[in-house]
Amino acid sequence: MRSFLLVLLLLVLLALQSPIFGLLGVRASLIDFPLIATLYFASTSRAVRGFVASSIIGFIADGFTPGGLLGMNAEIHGIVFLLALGLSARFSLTRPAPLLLVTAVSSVLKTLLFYLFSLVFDRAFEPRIEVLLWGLPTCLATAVLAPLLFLPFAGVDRIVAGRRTNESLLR
Amino acid sequence: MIDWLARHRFPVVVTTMLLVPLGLMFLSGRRESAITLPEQVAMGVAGWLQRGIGSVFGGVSGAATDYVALVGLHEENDRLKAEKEFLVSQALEAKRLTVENVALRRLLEMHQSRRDLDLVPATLVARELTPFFRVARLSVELDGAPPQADQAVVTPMGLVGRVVHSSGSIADVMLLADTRSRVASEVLGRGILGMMVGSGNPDAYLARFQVSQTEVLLEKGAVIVTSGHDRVFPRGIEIGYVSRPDQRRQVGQYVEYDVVLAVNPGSLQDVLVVRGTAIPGRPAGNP
Repeated sequence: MRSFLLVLLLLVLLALQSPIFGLLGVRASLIDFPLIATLYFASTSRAVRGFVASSIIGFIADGFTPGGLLGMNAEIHGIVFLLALGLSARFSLTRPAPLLLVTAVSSVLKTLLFYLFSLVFDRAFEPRIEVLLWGLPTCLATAVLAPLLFLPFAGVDRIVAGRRTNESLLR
Repeated sequence: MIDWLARHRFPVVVTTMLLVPLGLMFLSGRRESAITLPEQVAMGVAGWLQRGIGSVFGGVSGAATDYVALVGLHEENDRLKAEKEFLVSQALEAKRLTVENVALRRLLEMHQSRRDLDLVPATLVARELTPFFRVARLSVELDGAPPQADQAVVTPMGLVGRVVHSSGSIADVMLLADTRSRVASEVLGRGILGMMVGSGNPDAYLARFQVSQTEVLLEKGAVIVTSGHDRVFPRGIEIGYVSRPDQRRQVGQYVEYDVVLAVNPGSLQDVLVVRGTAIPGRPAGNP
C-alpha cells in the first residue's frame, strides 16, 4: 500500500511536472523526480521491495520519456537503487548533506548509464560527448533540491504509517 | 526450488528485474521494427495520465489566471479610470476649442464683411439671474472707448440686444426677448416695416413682430431684420423669423406675429458690440 501510494505520488508529480514547469518558464527536465523516488525507496524500504519499486519507477519514467528506449530507465533505476542502497548503509540519507551527495553521484551515474545503454542498444543514437553535459543542470538541480524533494514522499509515509523518516531533514 | 528462491530472493529479483529491461531495450532499440506491446502500454498509460492531469491543471491554471491571479486589478482599474477621465477631458477640451474656434471664425468673418461697422469683441460673463428680465452681462475687450448705452450687440447669426448699462469694460445687455426691448424692423425683401417687441417668455427666446394691419399677411418663415430706423441697430441684421403666422393677433392698430429669435442667448459666448459706423458722420443704423 505504501509503495503503491509513493508510486502514485510520483505519477502525479511526473504528470504535473511538464505543465507546472512550463508555467514557471523552467525546463521540465530540470528535476529528476524518478531518481528522487528511487533514492527515497533506497533509504526507507527493504531491499527487495525497494528494488521492485525502483524498477517500476523506471518503467514509469520510460513511459514519461518520449523517444527513449523502453526499459532503459528501469534498468538504470535498478542499478541506481543498488548503489544508493549500498551508500545508505554508510550515510544517513535522512540528512541533507549525505542526501545531496548521494543524489549528485546517482544522477551522474544515471547520465553515464544513459549514455552507455544508448550507445549499446539505440542504433539511432549519435555518440557525442555533449550529451553528458546536457544532464549536468539536471544533476545539479536535483542534488541541491533533493532534501526538499524528499518531503512529499516523506509526507506519504507519515500519512500511511506514521513514519518520521525525514525528521532531521532541513534542520 | 521454492526454498532456494526464497533464500535467494534478492539476487533472483535483481537479476530478473535487470534482465527484463535489457531485453526490452534490445527490442526497443531495433528501430526498424514496429512499436512493441510494452511500449504501447507504457506510452498509452503515461499519455493518458499526462493528458488527464494536464487538462485538470489547465483548468485550475486557467481559473487561477482568470480569477485568483488578478492581483492589482483594482489598482489597474483605478489607473485606467484616471487615464480615461484625463483623455475624456482632453477630448472635451479639444471639442470646446473647436466650437470656440468656429464661433470666433464667424465673428471674424462678420467683422471683415461688415467693414461699415465699428465692432469690438466681447465675452459673455453672466446671464440673467432674475426671472423677470432678459439681461446678460458682457465683458468687453477694451480697445478705445468703453461700451455705451444703446449700442447694439450682434453675432454672425443675428442680433442679440443692446447695451443698457456699462461700467468700464463691463456692460449689461438687454436681450431681444426682454419685454422692454424694442427694435425697428422690417421683413427682409418685402419692405414691410414694423417693431420687434420682446415677449418676456422665460422658457423660450421669443419676440413679437408688430406691423400695421394694412400690411399684407406674412407667411411662415418670413425673415425679420433690423431696419435701422431707430438709429440704434444697424440695418440688415437678422432678428428672427415668423413661426406661426396663423396665430397672429390683433393688438390695437397692429397685427402681431410670433417670431423665433435667430440668436439663442443661452448658447452665446462671444459677441460683437457695435460702437458705431466706421464711416465718420454716418449713423450706425444707416450703413
